[in-house]
Amino acid sequence: MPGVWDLRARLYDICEGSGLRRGPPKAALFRHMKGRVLFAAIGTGADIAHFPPGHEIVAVDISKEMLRRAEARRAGYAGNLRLVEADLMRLEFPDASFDTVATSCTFCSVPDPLRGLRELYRVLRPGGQLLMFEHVRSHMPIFGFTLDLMTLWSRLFGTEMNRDTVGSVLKAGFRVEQIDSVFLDIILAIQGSKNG
Amino acid sequence: MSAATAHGREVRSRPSSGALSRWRTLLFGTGDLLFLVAVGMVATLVMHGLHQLGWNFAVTCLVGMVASMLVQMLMAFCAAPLLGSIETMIPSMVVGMVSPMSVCTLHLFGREPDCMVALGGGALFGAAMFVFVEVFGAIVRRSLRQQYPTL
Repeated sequence: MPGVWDLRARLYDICEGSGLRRGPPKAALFRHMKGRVLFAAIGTGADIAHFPPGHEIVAVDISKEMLRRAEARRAGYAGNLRLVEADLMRLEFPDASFDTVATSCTFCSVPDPLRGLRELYRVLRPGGQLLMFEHVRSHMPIFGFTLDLMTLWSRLFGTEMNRDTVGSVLKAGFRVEQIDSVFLDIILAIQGSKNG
Repeated sequence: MSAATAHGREVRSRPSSGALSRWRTLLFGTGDLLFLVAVGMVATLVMHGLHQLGWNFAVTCLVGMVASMLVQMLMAFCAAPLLGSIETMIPSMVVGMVSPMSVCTLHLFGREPDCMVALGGGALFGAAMFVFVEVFGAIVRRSLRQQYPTL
């Protein structure tokens, strides 16, 4: 799996890096970051421009190439941002070691999303918050079917377009407090928390 | 309510509020409309062109669908940096599938649309998809606001 992402890192910024459309809603979500933050997965660092300044953020990614590309953007962050190579499903951080866990288009690509979310739940302190900018399967049949069709080939490159990420968030034990639509019911800004 | 980002830009607290947000919505809406109309026209024109070759009807429809989808995907990839990848790919995929089928349907009933009819039909499908996306988007936003009142 890391190999796929090393390869995709070369093209990632062309399609996803501009942030022209999704930048403001991402910034509006990430401004809720509090305390020590875990960001999973950072990719090429395109989201760093939307982080509020002055935070202590540990950003992980499974791909060395993604992290290499994120390094230049990390240097421009006005705060303490550390990049760490790590598998989201096997984090080496202690239990309850973060105040906020944030993701951006991450759970379409984690092989076992429930396991990944349970790992995020473990490292988040009780009462800590979850901020997710994710795309999910649409409930509208025509768009849901289109996302199912796309998944036939996007799966080959490590991405599933038709996941029920909100359902997985609830199954992992988080409480969902707010969901904002960014694009239809496909791209969502999700705010949740771990019961204190 | 606003917040500063790492690079010092001010952003509104919610994507749907404020004058800046309204301008963004208008500009992206115009971009979406033009893009979907263009995809509808080009995908339908591709199917129309293949029907002019006089091949077997079923083969023409099959090859035409594949060609239309390839053109749609290429256009979506080109528009993605400006309009967003999912935001362009999903609605245009529906347009790229459905709009060319209208040409096949007309041929099936013995009617041969000319180039302008194919282009006009494609543009109409694109515009209809834009309206559908806007209406469905408004329904989703209202539903989520009711389910999750602002924090």
